[in-house]
Amino acid sequence: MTRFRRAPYDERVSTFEVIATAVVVVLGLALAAYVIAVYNSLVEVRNNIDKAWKDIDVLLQQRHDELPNLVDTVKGYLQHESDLLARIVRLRTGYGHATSIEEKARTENELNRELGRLRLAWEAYPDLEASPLFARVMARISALESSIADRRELFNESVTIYNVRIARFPELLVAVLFGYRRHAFLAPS
Amino acid sequence: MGRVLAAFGAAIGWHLVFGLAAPLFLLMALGLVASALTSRGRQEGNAWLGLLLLPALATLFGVLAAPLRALIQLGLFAFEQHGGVAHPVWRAVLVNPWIDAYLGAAGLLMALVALSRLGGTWSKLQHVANLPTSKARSAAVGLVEVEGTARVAVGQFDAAIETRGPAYDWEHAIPATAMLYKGTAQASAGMQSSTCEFLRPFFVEDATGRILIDPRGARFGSFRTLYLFGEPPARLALSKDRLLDGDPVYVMGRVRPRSDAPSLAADAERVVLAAFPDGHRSSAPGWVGRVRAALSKRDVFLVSDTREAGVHRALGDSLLEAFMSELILFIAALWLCLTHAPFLRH
Repeated sequence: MTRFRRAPYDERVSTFEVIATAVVVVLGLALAAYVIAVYNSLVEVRNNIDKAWKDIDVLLQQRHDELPNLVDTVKGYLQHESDLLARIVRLRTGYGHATSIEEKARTENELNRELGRLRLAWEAYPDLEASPLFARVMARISALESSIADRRELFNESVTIYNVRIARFPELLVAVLFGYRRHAFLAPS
Repeated sequence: MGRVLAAFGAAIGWHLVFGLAAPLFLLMALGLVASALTSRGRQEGNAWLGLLLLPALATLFGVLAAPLRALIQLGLFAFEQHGGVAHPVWRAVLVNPWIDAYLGAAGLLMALVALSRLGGTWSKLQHVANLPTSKARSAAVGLVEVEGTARVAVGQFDAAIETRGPAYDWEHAIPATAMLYKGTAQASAGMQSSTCEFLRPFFVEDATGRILIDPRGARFGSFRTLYLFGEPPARLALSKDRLLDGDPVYVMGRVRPRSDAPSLAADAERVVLAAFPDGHRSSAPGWVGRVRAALSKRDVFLVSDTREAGVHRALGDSLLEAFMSELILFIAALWLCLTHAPFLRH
């Protein structure tokens, strides 16, 4: 009777197999680490925007608190600009109701445009500019504007860094995957 | 590509130097053994206690020697085809699977530890890239970066000027306009001093104003990452040995409220950008302090006399070089382990 014996099976693995497995595992870990690093980096730049906004928001609120005084001071002279004054008051209220930074930034940009128009309007009234009450209100607003300008620069730089990061390849892939979108800038007043 | 090649070349160079320096640790280990064997009387106990350092010395030897050993082994492959190493003494040293397995295991362990330590440099690099540059006047509390001109801060924390190194009359050696100073060999007031470090609070001034910087507790160092211990958390990286009044300066760190600020102070007068909170500086001197500072998770603090782009580039190069160096160690150690692992079919 012929007895068949199984060929000895070498259970050991080859060096090539171990190195190939190690390379695949290392590459996989490196890819996962890269995606995590990019994601964390995007979280950081996004948080920088939030932090920069919180710093500027305090000053914007203080400036908004001065707006009713400004409107009260100029409305006697600018009766024909009542629509413009009403829009400014409405935008100020809208800023208070805005919930997101994007919305607040857009409202603030619109408010700045209307204030620019108001500035052009009162320049036609030298009596108004000579008024001590108007001068006092404007001095307070100007002091705030100077501080706002520094922080607006910081905020806009934060937004630039964020917008560049989410538009750049390969961060773009991670940004799209996690729903990061372009952020609005804050226009100068 | 050029940066990668440069980093790779530098890493290879470092490993050759490390490999050649590794026998020093063996000599030290042999010295400890000889001291223990020949000691007499009261010194005998200390000499035997010294033997406890042997594992550390052997591990350091393994870590430093692994890449060079792998290179030698690669050369031996070719050499073995033509008769190989015949002399028994050389065979015991060069064709010894136990030595290779030991060097491989030590190198692999340290490569993994060192690779994990690169996170500190990566994080600092990300902060430099991601942080917007704050204006000095309106720097908010928290992590910020500022750029501007260094200015001497008179009367700010003057009672607590830090000096390290041998005690000597530094006023004769350090210019009055220096805020950061790393001395080397200097003749001062008739005596020769070897090294010293000098850290004094200073202002960073830009177009909007100035902010106080308190570098006390930080360490001098180049942008080259420490090979084994990773990025030190608080570092002064200068292109020359001092930072003088009027020099351009870049600072990244955490802005904190000043406890000693006058009640009427406004904006930047109320805050300080400090390496460490008051009373929490590294107290341990020398290597113990360095290792402890490197291993602890502290706030990021970096002062440099280059601009932001230069800091980013230098940190990037440093990270790349360290990564290449540790990757070479990892591959060499893995290869040494694998060529002698019993479960492998060669």
